[in-house]
Amino acid sequence: MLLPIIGILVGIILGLTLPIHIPTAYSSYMSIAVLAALDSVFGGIRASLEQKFEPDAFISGFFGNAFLAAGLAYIGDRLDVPIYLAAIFAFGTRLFQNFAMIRRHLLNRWRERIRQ
Amino acid sequence: MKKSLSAQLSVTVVSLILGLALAAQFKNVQRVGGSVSLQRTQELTRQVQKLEQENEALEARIQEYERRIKEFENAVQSEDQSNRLIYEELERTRMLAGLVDVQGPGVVVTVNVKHVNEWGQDAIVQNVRYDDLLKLVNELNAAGAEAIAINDERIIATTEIRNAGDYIVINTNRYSSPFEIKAIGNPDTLEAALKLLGGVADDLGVYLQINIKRVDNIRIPKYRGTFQYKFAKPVQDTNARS
Repeated sequence: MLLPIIGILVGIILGLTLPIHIPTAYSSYMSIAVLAALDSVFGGIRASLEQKFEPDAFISGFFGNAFLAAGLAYIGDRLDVPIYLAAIFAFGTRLFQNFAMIRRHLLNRWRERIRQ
Repeated sequence: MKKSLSAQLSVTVVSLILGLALAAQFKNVQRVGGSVSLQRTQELTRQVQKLEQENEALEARIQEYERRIKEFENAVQSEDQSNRLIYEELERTRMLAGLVDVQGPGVVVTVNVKHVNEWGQDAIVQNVRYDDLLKLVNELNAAGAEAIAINDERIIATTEIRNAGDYIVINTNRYSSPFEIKAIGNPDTLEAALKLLGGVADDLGVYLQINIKRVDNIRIPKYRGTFQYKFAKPVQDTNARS
């Protein structure tokens, strides 16, 4: 659990210090992609707690979801259909579900430890 | 719970990318101030269109009134010879006030943003700010410019030059770079005043692209707005002082 947290922290620090600029026009797609990525990471944490973690599925899901979400949002903008709402809805719901599962797993583990 | 090294590594790399994306997006939102909703954009677009139409109608009315004033003046002028003096005085005053098109020799100063290569990306040093233009106008006036216009907006006594969002408002109209300042006067004096060592052109040249060109014949349009005096009234009694 330690390495991913270090990874996120290093990434944030790098992102804040390096002069990376996303053009304003693509900002909304980037936000959807970030949401999809967050969802994937939560899914990964949950899978690892359930001992079902598969690195290849996780990585393909991470990039696949991010690009699909951004791509759909882009197409939606071109067609004047707010598809990004669907992405926000789907990923947002999944995020909360995943978090609930993670919470339950951790709580169970904690209870078992106390019982011993 | 033992995981293979590759799994740990892959999660770390993905987390790194996620962190990068999060930070980049965060910075972007801070810089731009979030996105504006579609409805709001459409609403604002409609408002702008409506105001533009109103503006056009009002401008047409101004022209109409100006034409009528001219007619009255012509009538008066032909009426009486003694009125001619008054008419001439009026013409002189109008020129002073910036209400007639003028032409003559002078300089044309173009002010534009300076591009630099920063981290392999094209970036501008700084936007043109209102005080940059004010400095140039001030210097030109000091050097004896007789008429000045920025982007064909005649600079008169009540002209404002101020920032409004990404634009600079001159005579209540919005402009953004490039700016073209036309000034009629002695071209040698005007150019020398701007190009003085350590002068305005040197100062602003650090972060803006400034180009000064002498022109034999410049045409400067008249002030297109209207005057309204609600508060100021001419003093009748010359002895009364408060």
